[in-house]
Amino acid sequence: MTLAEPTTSLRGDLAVRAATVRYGGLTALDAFDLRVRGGSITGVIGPNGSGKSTLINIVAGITPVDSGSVVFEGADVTGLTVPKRASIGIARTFQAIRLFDSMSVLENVLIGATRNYRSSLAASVFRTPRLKKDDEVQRELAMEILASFGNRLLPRLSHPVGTLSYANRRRVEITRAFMLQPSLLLLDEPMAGMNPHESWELAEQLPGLLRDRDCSALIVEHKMDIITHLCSDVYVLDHGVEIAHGSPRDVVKDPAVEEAFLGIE
Amino acid sequence: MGSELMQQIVNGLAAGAIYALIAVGYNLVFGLLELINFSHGHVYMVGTFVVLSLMDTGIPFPVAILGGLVIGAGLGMAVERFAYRPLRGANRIIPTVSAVAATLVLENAANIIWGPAARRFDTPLPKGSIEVLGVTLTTMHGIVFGTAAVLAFGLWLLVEKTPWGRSVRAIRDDLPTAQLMGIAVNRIVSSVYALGSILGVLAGVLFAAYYSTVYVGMGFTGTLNAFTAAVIGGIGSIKGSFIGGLTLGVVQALAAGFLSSGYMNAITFVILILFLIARPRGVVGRAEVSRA
Repeated sequence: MTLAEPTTSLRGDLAVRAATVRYGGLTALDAFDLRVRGGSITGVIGPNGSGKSTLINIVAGITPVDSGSVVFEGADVTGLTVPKRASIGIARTFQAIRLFDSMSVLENVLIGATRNYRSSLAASVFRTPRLKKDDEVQRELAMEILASFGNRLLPRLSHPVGTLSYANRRRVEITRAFMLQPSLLLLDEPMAGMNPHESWELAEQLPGLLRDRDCSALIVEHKMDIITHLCSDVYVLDHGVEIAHGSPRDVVKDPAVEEAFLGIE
Repeated sequence: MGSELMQQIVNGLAAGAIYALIAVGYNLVFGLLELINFSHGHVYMVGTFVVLSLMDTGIPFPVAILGGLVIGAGLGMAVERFAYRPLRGANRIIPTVSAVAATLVLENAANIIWGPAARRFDTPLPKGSIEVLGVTLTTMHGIVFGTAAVLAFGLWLLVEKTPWGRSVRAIRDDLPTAQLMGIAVNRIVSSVYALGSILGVLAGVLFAAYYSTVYVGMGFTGTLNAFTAAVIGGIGSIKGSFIGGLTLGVVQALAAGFLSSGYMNAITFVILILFLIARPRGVVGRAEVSRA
């Protein structure tokens, strides 16, 4: 019997280094540093306009940094495009849900797996054996992830997503993100628009989902209790600057945090 | 009188099946990016002339069709690549202008190569006919209607039931998000133009075989009929454009049979205008869901 090798894998490891983003005269992020360790769930909280979404967008590749860098699994990805970053395992959900409304739940979910199989016109016309096999594998994976939400989505596979409740649309979006088989999931206010019951249900399901898929997560939220429940490590942002960092327990006691959140919580 | 009416309806359904086939290809392309594709009819005209020229050199009919399809698909992709793609995201009137330009290039090139006169188009397709209750049904009626129906159904399957079709519909719903999901948007758009053109050229060959003629002017008429059929049926709906094509064919045949064939384009325009005023969504058009 051999000892388990010490894990040298950087799977899901993210480092944002001295990232600065300016919009005209406004500094959205100011020399911000952040680390998401592989397998962990790291949270970012802060008042509206504190730079949380900008942070998600620089990691996803939508917003370029003016200075600083984004390092994913040990490699500098600062210059990579959105599709490139998706292809190396960075998936995301959007603060304002972006689904294909005329398509069904299952179809929306399978769209997330597009890059996992050949979907060219020729392959579809001739229904190549490889396409059929890929399709089977992806559908199986889709059902597996959809089942994580209990009976929320399984009975609605063929419903157009436009007819779903807000919470279910969010669940579809999360499933679609997992279909990319990411090693890092960026969740931009996933509980926004959900009632407390739905928020907690999702908060209970997320850690297991991430663990099963060997995926780390960066989650942006302003519901403090949810962040405390989910995350081992929390950053507090205000006006693009880190005002506190540490375990959720320590962070909530920080006077600077109390001041920033006064009147919000 | 009864059998004459029936005869016109049968003729109209055959002509309408050809319109339907042009229209489904047209609608596939139009529905995707909502660009008015003026060159669709011209691509189908050029493709049909290519088939004729290949047959003139002694190449067998099926191989000649293949050649026409390849050229048609190439032209469709080229029009997309050079006339539309650089202008994607621009105000829609701008690609409309470049589409007209592409159309003029194709039309003038065709005039130089094949001349403005109508050319005879003979095929080895069987020419038999039978009489049923005073109505003549020809083999060509059957071939035209059967081919168009099978191809339209095949396209519907492709769009609704395959991974490629899923990507096409995702782009149609929301192009930027489709791009973020890792869909190779340019490749899919290109393949849609190729497929639309292939269906167009097949319709062109059916048209030329049915009327035993091919001429440069069929490009414009083709686009007009396809656009009208698509508007009748509903933009973005394959089923709708097929129904729209059949309807248009029957109305035109009745107009030609009981008024004069000179009124055919005029009737088409009147129908187009009426639908655009009264029901721009068409008979089975989908409501705008995501672009509001």
